[in-house]
Amino acid sequence: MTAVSVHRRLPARGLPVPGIVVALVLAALLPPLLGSTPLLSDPHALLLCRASGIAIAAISLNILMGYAGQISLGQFAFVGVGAFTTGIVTGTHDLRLPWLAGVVAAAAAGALLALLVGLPALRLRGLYLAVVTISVAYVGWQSLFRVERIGGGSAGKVIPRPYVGGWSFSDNATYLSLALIALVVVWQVDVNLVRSRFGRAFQAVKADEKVAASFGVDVARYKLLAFALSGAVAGVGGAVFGTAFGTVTGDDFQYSTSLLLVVIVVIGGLGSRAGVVAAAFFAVLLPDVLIGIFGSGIRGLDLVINAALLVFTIARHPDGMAGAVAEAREKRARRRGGEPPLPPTRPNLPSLGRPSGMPEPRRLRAGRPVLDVAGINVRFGGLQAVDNASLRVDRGTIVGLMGPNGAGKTTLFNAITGALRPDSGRVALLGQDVSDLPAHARAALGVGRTFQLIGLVKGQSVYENLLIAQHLAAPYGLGSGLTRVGASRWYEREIRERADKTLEGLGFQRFAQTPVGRLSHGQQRIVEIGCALVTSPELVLLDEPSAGMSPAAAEDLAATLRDIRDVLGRTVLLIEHNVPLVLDVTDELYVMDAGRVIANGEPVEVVQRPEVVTAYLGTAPVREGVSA
Amino acid sequence: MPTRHRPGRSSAVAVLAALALSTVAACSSAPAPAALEQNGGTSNGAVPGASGAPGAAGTTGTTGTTGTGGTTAAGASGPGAGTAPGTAGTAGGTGSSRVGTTGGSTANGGSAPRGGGGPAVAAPRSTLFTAAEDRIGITPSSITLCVHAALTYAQAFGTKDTDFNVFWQALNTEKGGILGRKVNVTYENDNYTPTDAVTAATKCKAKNPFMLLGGIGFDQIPAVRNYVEQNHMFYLHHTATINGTAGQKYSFTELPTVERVGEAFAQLAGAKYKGAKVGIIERDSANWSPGVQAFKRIAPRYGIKVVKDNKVAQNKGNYTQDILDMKSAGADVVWIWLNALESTQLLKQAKAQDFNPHWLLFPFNLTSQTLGSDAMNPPLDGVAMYPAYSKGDYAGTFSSYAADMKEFEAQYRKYDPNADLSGIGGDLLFLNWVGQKALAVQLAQCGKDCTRNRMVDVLESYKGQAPSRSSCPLDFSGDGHRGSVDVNFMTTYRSPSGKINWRNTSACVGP
Amino acid sequence: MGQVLVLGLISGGIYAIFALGVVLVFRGTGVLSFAQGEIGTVALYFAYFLVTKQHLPWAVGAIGAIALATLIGAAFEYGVVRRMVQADPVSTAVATVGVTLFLLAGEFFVFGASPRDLPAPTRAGVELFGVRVTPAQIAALLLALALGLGLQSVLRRTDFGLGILAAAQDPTAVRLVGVPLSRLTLTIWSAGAALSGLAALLVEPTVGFITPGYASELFIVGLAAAVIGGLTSLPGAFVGGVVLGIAEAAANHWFGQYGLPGLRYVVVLVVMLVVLLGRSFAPDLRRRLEQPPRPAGVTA
Repeated sequence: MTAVSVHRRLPARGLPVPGIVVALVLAALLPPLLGSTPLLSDPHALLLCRASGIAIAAISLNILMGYAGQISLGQFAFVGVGAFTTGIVTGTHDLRLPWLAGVVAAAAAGALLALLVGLPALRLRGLYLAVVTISVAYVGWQSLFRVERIGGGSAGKVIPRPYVGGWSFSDNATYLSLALIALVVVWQVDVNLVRSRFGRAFQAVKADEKVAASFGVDVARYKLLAFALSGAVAGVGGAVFGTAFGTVTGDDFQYSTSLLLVVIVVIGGLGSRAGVVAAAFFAVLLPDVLIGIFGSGIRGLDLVINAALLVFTIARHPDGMAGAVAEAREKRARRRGGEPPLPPTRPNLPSLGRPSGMPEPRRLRAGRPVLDVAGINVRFGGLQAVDNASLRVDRGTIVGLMGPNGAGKTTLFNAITGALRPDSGRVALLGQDVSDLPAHARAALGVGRTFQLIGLVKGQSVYENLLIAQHLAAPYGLGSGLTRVGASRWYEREIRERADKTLEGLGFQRFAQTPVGRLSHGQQRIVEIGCALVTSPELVLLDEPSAGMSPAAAEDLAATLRDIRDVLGRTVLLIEHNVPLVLDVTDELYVMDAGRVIANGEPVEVVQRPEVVTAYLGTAPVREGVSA
Repeated sequence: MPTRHRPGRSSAVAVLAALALSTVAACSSAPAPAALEQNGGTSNGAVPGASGAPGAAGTTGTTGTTGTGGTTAAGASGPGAGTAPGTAGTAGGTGSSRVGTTGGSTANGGSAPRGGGGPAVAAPRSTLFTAAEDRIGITPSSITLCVHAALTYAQAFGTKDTDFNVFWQALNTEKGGILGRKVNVTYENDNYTPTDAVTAATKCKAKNPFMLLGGIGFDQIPAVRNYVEQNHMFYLHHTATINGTAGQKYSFTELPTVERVGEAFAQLAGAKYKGAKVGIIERDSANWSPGVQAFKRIAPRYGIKVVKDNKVAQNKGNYTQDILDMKSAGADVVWIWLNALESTQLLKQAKAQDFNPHWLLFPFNLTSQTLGSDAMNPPLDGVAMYPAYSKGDYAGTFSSYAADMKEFEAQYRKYDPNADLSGIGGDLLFLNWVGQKALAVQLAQCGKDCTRNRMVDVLESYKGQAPSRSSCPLDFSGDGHRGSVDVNFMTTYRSPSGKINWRNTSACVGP
Repeated sequence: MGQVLVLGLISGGIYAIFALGVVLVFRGTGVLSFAQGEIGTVALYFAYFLVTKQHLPWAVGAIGAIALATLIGAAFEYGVVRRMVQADPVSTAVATVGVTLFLLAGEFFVFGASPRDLPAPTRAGVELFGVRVTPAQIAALLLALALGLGLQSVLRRTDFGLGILAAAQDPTAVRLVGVPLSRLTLTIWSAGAALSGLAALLVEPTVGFITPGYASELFIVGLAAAVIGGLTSLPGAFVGGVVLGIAEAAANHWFGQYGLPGLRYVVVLVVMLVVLLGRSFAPDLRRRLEQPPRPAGVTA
């Protein structure tokens, strides 16, 4: 999916609390009521149970593919694991535990299998991962689910209906209540996920892993978490689906069903919960609807239609139905109101203290540098990108880093922030050696950075980006996040307050819900700086912030930088090409060329040095030099 | 589990008998279309010609033992009734091998409907169904039946869905149904998987049928049995395991169990290949393995040694490794405990590997015709719960039920001339037809005031009779739910038309 | 042991042909096509139709089948891939998923789930290590080898081939230079599909019955073989196919008797993971071995 193609926004709210209660009550009461009328016949109730199971499975795939961007062409293997586990736990010849225990076991088993698949996913990209997931789907269908212990061979696994006391849910309409309740619960959990730091972290990982790491997201851990969550939900779907039929065999979890699930999720719109659930119901009910209209001769054509629909949708709308709907909505909004006026480009960054969720930064002895980099070497194949570079940044200063293109400045930045591992050298942050720490861990110690090509999650709104940037400031657990109980309420309130204050300071309130990708480059840069500062890091690394800005805007930027140093008391390391800006704000200046640091010292003096001028202009230095 | 083991002594039964039991039991089958492994059906053999003097005269019941008796007569209602079943004793269920013996039962069936009706009806013995459930699916003018079967595979046998309904069509058209009730039968595809079988059963339930009939499917039937138990349907199904049926009340079968069939294969191997080294290639399933366990249990009796036992997954496709395993284990006899399509595939591959032991398998013309002369090299052996069929061949072991074959062919000529009875699906259609005929006989025996409970009584009153000449005797006096232990032994032969078909060598073989 | 080798080479040849199709399309267009398997099944159904319903000789059926496969490949390229030039490879791969489902559904609709039987052309065979090998199986292995080497030299040495390689890397540049890009991609997709048809045909006489999704099960192994071989190497695809074939035969030989089903797929998954993960860890390992030890952390 291209970054700016569709403006996907995370919904600010799902069903309000009373809404979920209404949904649960409806789910519980409506089916049995309708079941006693001819409106809901037994076979139709069974079909709807099946649709509910598939909808839950679709939500699970949406978590993995839509939120976290991990491709999975074998999701039904996780669903199957859930179904068979339920059978093993609740079966009359097996463990005979209550049905709910079976559902929990199904979720656990699904999560476990997904985790096992996720581990290789950390090292494999896109298409390789796709092939591995296909292979897993085949192993499930043809091998694992046919082992007699697990799946009963071709006899299948019997999954008894749940019972309460002596009364069992054997009537399909009654069981449908249970299935719908499960769907509502899963829906709400998904809503909570998306509103929590976990959902935001998934979106960040999907958009750009480096950016996510710079916001403190442990990319590997979150990928695994996405797999585990997806597997758990799929397992629940399997429990619901399997119990509806009472007996399941390996053939109920074929590879083509996994493909169908991909169809459903893509057509519904990756990332859109409602679209995905609607597509699931549509796909399951369509065959019977067609047969009802055209008679049973049409059997088989429904699959043809499904598949044709997929191919068409992918070709025209890579973002699926929900994407098309969102696009239409955007068009309408744009037609209605014009563009809001541009916000002031000189933001008033709020002075926020350290967030309560983050530890206080290390106390630094007077005189010690905030950042101390020694002897960094980075080699890419035959090219020495960074050659024995060293620099130090003192507290409360703005240090500049200049050099011609290809000098290795951004590479050095990456080595400092942990985005790449240098071949040798040492990085110390606030007195602590961080050379072995990954990027997200360094972010936790108090480093914020921006990127040359704007390090934001372009598909999300400005507000969401500000929340993502505070990933580390809201350290609540998964349980709290999914249920919105406990620590998450406290932390979410805090980071939203901070985000509100930052928005105000930036003057971007009107743009709060605008996808970042739709702002102008200069506006994006300002948002990016806001995000870099929102957790009050000690050290901020800015990579060519003035690139693409007009001279007037660059002046405003200079003022902003000075504010950061003087008003907020932060330390800044700045890569820049704009010499007047550099001379205006920096307290110290380093110059790199061909990977080496060739000069450092007082800015005005450094820029006039012959070796610096040669590095930029290439020939004999101009006599008069550049004056501030 | 019902505890009625009434010998036909009481007057109530006599009356019932008068109404019902005319013909005799047989290994009748569940009227199941699309039989893949076996079909229920009839076994020829029994029939035997009338002999049995029409009983008339009450001997009802006499003859102590197992009643058979009783029935008597005439009455016959319904098609096929015909003469009274044997009177006098004999018959009846004595043990095994009722081959040929007339034993009483049997009535030649013949179709002549005999009028009859009988005296006033008494209350049914069975209390399985509540008053509300008792009359579902049956009205004075119609009986509704619903069948779940593997329609998906109809084409593999060269047939169409509609080929399986000819018997009922003829019955409704020519005789106005059974006792004035038209028989409406619908079919739901169970796709040969347990999950879809449950869906099919659910769809059938929505049509409120009098009976749910279960077609071939060792794996599907147990799943549906669970379903009908919870939903109180009247289920008459094809062969399935007895294992797992403890406590189940709503399922009945007129065919031998899986365990019994497994035993029968051992019997056949023992009879023909005493002392042989046997290899087994079996379906990996909890519903198939009881057959193998039964085989292994009685194999020592015949000096048979199982030298290799390979489990294979359903539709494995490539059996080369298993064939080579059998070869290297030195098996002279190989028992293929898989369905007809899988068996055919396996045999093709075995021939390609030049491996020619004696083969034991489910006998279907699909297999023998597909293999052609390979199926004679050596001739294949089979155990079945249905009669053999070879179009136009009424000689030899076909003669005892040739009349049924001719009636079958006549009906198809009239109502479904495009069906290829001499092709790979001919025997499937015949065994399906025979099963439907047996059921029709039993529905007739249920009488004018037929209800589900009365139908249960009809089934349970069979103690050694066969419903038609192509069927084997039934005996429900055991647990009241499983009525047969008889199988047919078959072998391949070159039919007069040149095609390689199967024919009976022994009919209605008991344990 | 010899038995395992022979059985392994028999299947290996088929897997290799599927793998070659995958690599050809990937190298030529940058798209991983998941539809190749089902194209093979459709071709086989067509052969079945020609041979059993129209009573044409097997050779005609075979040629017809390969021709149909080629046509489907071309139609897919023309109708779908061309419209997705802007899309990323993952989306196009998902589109091939759609094609798979579409073809599967078509097969169910037209032929039903009933298995169909295509009689083998000949009964002849050769006995090797106790296993009877048919001419089709030998042909599969030899063809795979020949095609692998042949395609490799076409790609590397002819202008046409170089054009294909260039097109995969930079389609715009190729267009600017004047090479007829659309004709190249059309050829690639058609050739890839033809290979699938060929593979499916060569397998069928062994396995017996045609059902929907038949060739896809084998194709998956071919896909894995291509991935193992590096996804861009044609000889690698051949080697991958043979390796997987032998591994599968070995697993069946040792574990098959316990009734463990679907060993083929377990083997595929395990081998694929070992190779892919090994390859991804290799540069790290190499770096760790070459790098001088880092001095212990020193705090400022």
